[in-house]
Amino acid sequence: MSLRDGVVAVFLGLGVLVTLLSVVGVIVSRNVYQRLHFVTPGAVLAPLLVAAAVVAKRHSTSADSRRSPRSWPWSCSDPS
Amino acid sequence: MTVWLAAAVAMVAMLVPLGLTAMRGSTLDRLVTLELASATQTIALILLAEGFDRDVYFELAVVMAVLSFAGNLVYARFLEHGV
Repeated sequence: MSLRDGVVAVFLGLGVLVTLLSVVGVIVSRNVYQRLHFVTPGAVLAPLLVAAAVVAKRHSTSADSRRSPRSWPWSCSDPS
Repeated sequence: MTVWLAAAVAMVAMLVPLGLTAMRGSTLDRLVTLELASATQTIALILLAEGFDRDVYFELAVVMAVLSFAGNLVYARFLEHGV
């Protein structure tokens, strides 16, 4: 597992954990006003964490492809 | 199974207790549960898109996010007269 995979796993784990806590909070709460407090982390924080995981994967993937010679086929066809 | 698909399965699994919660309680309780379920569903679609490595599927998540936001506002506006 590379550093990129670790960062992605941490972000995804936090996103799932925040959503799980929100779901448990909504189920356990007594009235609607208490339930509303638990909706916000699941609707705001969890998508941000998942988006951070996607960006971490895409950013590191694009950086790897820039470093990889396979992403530059014209450099491989150098006659010299 | 990748970590993306595992997270997507977890998100879809969390829709089950939310659905059961939405079946009981007052109308406002159901609306609050629907809001959280729509956010969870949108995240699940994003995770499935990344897990299957299909960028086209992200559009489904974007459409779901916009429609659920507008739909929840319509529901809240509709229920405002009964509160």
